[in-house]
Amino acid sequence: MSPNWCTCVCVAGLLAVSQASLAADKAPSLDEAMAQIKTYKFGESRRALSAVEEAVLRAGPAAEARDRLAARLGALLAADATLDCKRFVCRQLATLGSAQSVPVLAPLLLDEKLSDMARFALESIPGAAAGEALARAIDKSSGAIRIGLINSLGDRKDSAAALVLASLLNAGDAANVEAAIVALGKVGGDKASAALAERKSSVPAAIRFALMDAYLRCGDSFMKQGEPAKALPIYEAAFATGEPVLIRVAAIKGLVTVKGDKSLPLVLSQLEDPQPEMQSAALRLVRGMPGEAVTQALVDRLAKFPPERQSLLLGVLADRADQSALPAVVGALQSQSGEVRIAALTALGGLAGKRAVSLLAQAAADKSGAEQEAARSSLARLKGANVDAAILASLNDKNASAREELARAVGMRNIAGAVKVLLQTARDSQPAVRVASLESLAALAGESDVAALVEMLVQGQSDAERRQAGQAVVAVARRSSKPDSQIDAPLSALGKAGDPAIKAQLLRVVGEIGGPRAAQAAEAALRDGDAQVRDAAVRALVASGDASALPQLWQIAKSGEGEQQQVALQGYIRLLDAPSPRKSAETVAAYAQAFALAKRIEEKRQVLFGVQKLRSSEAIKFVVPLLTDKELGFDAARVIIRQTDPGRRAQAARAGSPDQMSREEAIAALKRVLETTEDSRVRQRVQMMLESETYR
Amino acid sequence: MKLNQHISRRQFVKNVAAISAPFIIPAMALGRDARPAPSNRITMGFIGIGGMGGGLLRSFLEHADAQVVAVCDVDSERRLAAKTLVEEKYAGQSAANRYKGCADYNDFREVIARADIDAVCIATPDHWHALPVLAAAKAGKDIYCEKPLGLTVAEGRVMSDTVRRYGRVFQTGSQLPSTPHVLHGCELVRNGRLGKIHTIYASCGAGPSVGLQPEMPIPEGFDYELWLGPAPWVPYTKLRCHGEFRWNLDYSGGQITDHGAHYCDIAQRGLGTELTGPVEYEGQGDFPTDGLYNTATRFKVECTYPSGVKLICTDEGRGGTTFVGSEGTLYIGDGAIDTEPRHLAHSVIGPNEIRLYNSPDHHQDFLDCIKSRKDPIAPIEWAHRAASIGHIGNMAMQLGRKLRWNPETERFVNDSEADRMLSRSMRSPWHL
Repeated sequence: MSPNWCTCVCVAGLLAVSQASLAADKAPSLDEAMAQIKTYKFGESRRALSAVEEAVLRAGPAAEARDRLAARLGALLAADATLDCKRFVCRQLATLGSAQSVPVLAPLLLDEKLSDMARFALESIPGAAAGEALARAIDKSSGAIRIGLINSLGDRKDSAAALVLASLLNAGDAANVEAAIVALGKVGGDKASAALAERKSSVPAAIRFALMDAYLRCGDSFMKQGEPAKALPIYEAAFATGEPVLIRVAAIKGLVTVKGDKSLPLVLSQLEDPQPEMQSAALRLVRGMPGEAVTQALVDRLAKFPPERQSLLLGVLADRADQSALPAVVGALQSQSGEVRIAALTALGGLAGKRAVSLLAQAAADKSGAEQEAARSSLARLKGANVDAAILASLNDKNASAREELARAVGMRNIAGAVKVLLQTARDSQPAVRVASLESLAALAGESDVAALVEMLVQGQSDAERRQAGQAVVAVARRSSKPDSQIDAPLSALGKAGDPAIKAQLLRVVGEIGGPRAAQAAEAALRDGDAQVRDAAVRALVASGDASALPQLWQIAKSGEGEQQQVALQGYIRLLDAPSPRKSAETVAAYAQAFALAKRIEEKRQVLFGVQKLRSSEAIKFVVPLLTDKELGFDAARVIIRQTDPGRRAQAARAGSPDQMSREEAIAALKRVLETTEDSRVRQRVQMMLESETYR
Repeated sequence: MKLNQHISRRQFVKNVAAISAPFIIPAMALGRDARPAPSNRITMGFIGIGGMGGGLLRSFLEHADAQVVAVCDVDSERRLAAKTLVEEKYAGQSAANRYKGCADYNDFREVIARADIDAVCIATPDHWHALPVLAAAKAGKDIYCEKPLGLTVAEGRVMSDTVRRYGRVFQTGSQLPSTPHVLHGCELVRNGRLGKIHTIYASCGAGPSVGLQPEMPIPEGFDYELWLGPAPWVPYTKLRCHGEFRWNLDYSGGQITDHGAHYCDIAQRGLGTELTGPVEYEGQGDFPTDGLYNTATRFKVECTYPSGVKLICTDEGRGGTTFVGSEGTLYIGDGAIDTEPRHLAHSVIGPNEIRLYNSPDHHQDFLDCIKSRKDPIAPIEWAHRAASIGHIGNMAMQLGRKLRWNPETERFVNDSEADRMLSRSMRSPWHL
């Protein structure tokens, strides 16, 4: 999920404390830090802790140095140190500790307040001593501490723990037994799997799933270790009738991994299992099983299934990409079920080659809705060296609707060298074929085709054709390495055009290409006698993205009427954001003018969010009074948070272009937000900003 | 149906074992516009309804083939607001203008124990991703879970193995590849439009820090013990929880695992290395030495793939992924792609070139894959590999030395000290 605005601000460093200021206070030496951490309590400075942590992380591989530091830390566990200190030390020993740390950690395992953190360390410490300490503590413990110890033995994955854990399978309450079961699953290996197998027949129903899950985990571990012979009996046992369906689902996956092709009959039989979960698992498995025999087996079953399962099976056949399924897929096009026909059309895109070109073009032409979409999509996806040639050769099909579909597919498939043919089909007798050809030309035409496309625009027989030809010109310009030079042909045509509809389309093209020449041409067209052309000229001025259009747009925004006035005002506000040599104060003044003129909340909000990028004294002075505006107050608060963001402030200073807003002005604005805003999230953000190093 | 607030472990397991998943009719059989009959909708429970979870809830409420039946959060204010949102939404669609079918829960285990729920959406803090995912997978639920996948590399590995063991459909909240510009950008890279790629920048943004925070009373209606869950116990303070979890290493990994999960995922897709990753990591980071937060504020980690391609994860630059190749540069951000030369962005990818999975709607893709049982666009193993880059990047910065990584074994090469940081112990009774 994309971050929302609050997160965005935070991400940008809303709360950023100046690290430079933190670094200004000299970090304590290790000796000083070791002495200081002894009395540490949560909420106090972490400086000493950080110094120790740094030493632990950078201790290096030399055992002697590591042990020396670990011993100093371990001494704190036996000393009269605070609870928070001891918790911290345990964390460090998780990274640094060795067998020599075990004696100081072991007694803490039975301490209600430190047991978890002692395990934190002992779980990570290599060697038998740590595991033995955990195991020894089990007998002396109960409740959550005991469960934690069993969990830790499992997480160490130490095969030596298997016997201890196995002994727990028949002792204690269900929670303890279950913890031991789970731990054995993690440890894996011969002893663990044997213990689980033995307990399998007598485990209470409530923890049977946990046991089978652990048992399967042992099987998976054997597979990872390259011992399929040991995994096989586990999967076979788990697949037995009567086991929970999910266990059987996992088991059949394991069986396929061990047996490969030989498991096909078993998997196929599960396609007809009464339990949907098992059917789904079988579908998933056959998708990845290679071989024509598998495909044939699936094809043989296709007609026997009800329509909803046929469509799923057709999806599987498509994913398998085995062309031997093609006849069955084509046959499914005749199904009475629309769902099956859609699935078959979709499958053809992945399976078929040039032979399906006519079939899919015809389907796309004849069908509607989801079937038409499926046929079009498949026509665009068909693979194979000769597919493109087949499509180009079929462009003279007698059926105009099929020609239209094929012409559209040419662009979707990015067929190289097809422009010449498309320029011909763009003159087809049927309007739909012409428009589809122009759509494809938008994807494929090059700079050398611009003149021809402009000519098609001028000669277009309908608005749709003219619009599509124009879009093709714009698309070429956007792809071009010299986009500005693509404006020559449409500008020249604009100079000669007389028909207002053609002029309007050309202005749209010129505006979309953009730049100062586009703005100039649009400005000239503002004086045209035809309203349609004048309207297009205003929009082209806006689209040009050129700051030279600002004065003219401002005039129209001030004195224009209706939609044209609205377009001009929105465009003016938008263009104020375009690169310009204006000073920030001038830009803010222009935004303020626009704000004063705006009658609708949309434009006022547009101004506000334009100003938010300006981090100057003038900009914040413009926004602060809006905090009390009934409709805009919340937005104004958001803008101020962005303008005063400490992270951005620091970043700007580092980049050598510091904000043109003093720290005091920023603080005053943030305090004003607190005075005027009730929104709890905004208030929390602002309070945190004011607590940050930048503004404290 | 609302279960007792304190469900027993035994009851939970019993319910899980009794699962009977409905056979769901594909949406295309029903037409996109028509709302399927209630019995054919995918029933969903939402676990974690903060900023991200709330957004996901609102999105799935708009999908006709999903039916939200449960919401869960340890903050009662949030879950009740979510329940109201759901019920008001569905009431507006009912003839009687009334709807009371969304239960609210404090404990995620109660959601997962419901046999009538097909799928869960998990948007908890990162330290609370693994446990609900594992429980949901073992209960036969399909799962949508926010990124980054887990809190550690070890968590990600267990999550991926378990989800795949039980054949669950899993979609990660890495939604960017479900946008046309990201798909197109990655296809441009995969088809060599930029020439030979040599460097990729994942610009994740700087992280914050904050001053010392005092212990505070736990707000009424907030189950802080459950919020902490498997993480080490510490006293409550406001800026530890909710949206601020991301800046504390006990609950998250900071920007490199947050935005990094998105941008490294895109880097992996561009390179075609979704199932593996870099083999060397080296970097520096500024970790606050005081105050409450402790994730890196500024950072730069250089990750090297076996091919020699460098992936630079950094706080600097325009947020997004930038591929640099011998023939050009491509920037992929949240809303657009930019190329140099510019015309590269408009290059069309043909059917005989490498085409990547196309998902026009990330959430619909999840629902569709529940029906087809295919892997969606952001499957769990890919999410695990992308998240691992951030986790290992953090470790390289913390340890201050080059780390050599084996993506096959998911262990470091001759570096037992670093291996110890791949997993973390959990507070009892929680376990992976």
